[in-house]
Order: sequence, then C-alpha cells, then structure tokens
Amino acid sequence: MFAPGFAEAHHGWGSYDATKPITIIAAIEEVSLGNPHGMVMLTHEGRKWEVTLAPLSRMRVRGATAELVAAGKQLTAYGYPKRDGTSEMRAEWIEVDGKRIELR
Amino acid sequence: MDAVWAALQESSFAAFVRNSTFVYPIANITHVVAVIAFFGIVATMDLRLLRIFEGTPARVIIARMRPVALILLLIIAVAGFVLFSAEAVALARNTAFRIKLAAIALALLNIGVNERTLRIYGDDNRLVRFTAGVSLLVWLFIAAMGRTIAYV
Repeated sequence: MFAPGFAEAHHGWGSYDATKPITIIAAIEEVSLGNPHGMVMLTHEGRKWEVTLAPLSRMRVRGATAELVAAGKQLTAYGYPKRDGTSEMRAEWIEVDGKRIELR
Repeated sequence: MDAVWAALQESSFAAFVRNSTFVYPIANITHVVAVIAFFGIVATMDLRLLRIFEGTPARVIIARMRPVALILLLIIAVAGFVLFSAEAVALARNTAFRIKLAAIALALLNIGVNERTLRIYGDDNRLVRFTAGVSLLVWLFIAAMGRTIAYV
C-alpha cells in the first residue's frame, strides 16, 4: 500500500546532517502525502532515496497538493541526508512544475 | 503480533487518519493537552497524599479529582490510539514506545495499590505515600518516553 520506508520515517531533526545539504533532481516514483508527514521515493545516483516532507496540513497550506506532487513528475529536493548514511533526506524545500515549496 | 499492527495500519481507519488534513494534528494536540491537564490533577492528589500541602482531607480531594483524572486518561488513550494507528508497525517496534507502554502498565497497577491501601489504612500510611511518590515519577517518565519516541 505504501513504501516500506514510510512508517519508519518518524524521527527527530537531529538525525539529519544540516552541514551537508544535498540536492536531488529525479522523477517521483512513489508519493504519499499523509500524516505524520509526507514522503516521496525516487532514484538518485543508483540508489533509492526517501525524501521526508512536512505534515499534510502544512503541505496543503503551502500548495503542495496531490495534483502537484504526483508520481512521474520531475522533482527537485534540497535538504539534509541522514547522519547514519541511509539514503533518506529531510527536505528543506522541494520544487515541482517550477513551483518551490518551503517545508520548514 | 506484527500482523495485528500491520492490519491496523492498513485499515481504512488508519488511512483516514493519515490522509485527513486535521485528524492527526487534532489527535496530537488533544493527546498532549490532555496529558498536561491529567498530570496537574494527578500531582494535586499525590502531593496531598505526600502532605506537601494539607487542609482539605485527602479523601475529599481524591473523590472529586480521580473521576476527572480517569476521564482525561480515557481521552489520552483514545487520541493516542488514533496517533498509533497511523504508523502502528514502526511504533510497536519503537523502544521508547515499548518502555512507555510498560510504564503505563506499572502506573495503572500503582493506582490500584494506592487505591486499595488508602481504602484499608487511610491516608496516614507509608505505602500510600510511597505509591503517591511512584505515581508522580512514573507519569513524568511516561511523558518523557512519549517524546523520546521521535528520537530513537
């Protein structure tokens, strides 16, 4: 129903390394806009990445609808990778269809 | 047990909690605010049993406050279940969550002992005071474990 990683993604910000921001540009493979926070899955440099987004209410307020953030679309995500080296990042902002959405 | 949590997480109820804009945040806010109210009431009863303040007899305070505490506990549990359902599989595996549940079991057992001892021996009793102290510490510990879930 959703990616295996989805339910694991509930953790504090301290587990992401803000000193090493990365940018991922790739097509969205899976997307889940839900609570406690949304996520997208995409492939970056041969690895499957999970991009952790904001809670649904904030996503809505900032215009990140399911129509905008949809599978198949090109997504740019700027954010911070997990300190433990797993291919997961917390997005500071994402950009789809030329629309930038700040998630903090 | 994993299958039970997976079934809960994949239920239409849990999907509704995840997909609704407001249900999850409202459950989250309700959970936390009810915890604050609950602890205030519990601390009043426990501090009276510990004789930090005196005056109104302990039995009067407890008779008035315990029903309110139980209603709040029910609200906390219902809101907590809503939050749990959204990501049941990961939470059931989360160490802090497991410790929290064990501590809740201990706290409930402690209420039972406190209640019974108080009824049999009255409030001038060592075990009554001991369980009142345990109650204060364990409920605070439970709140701390609740917050720790997000960081382990």
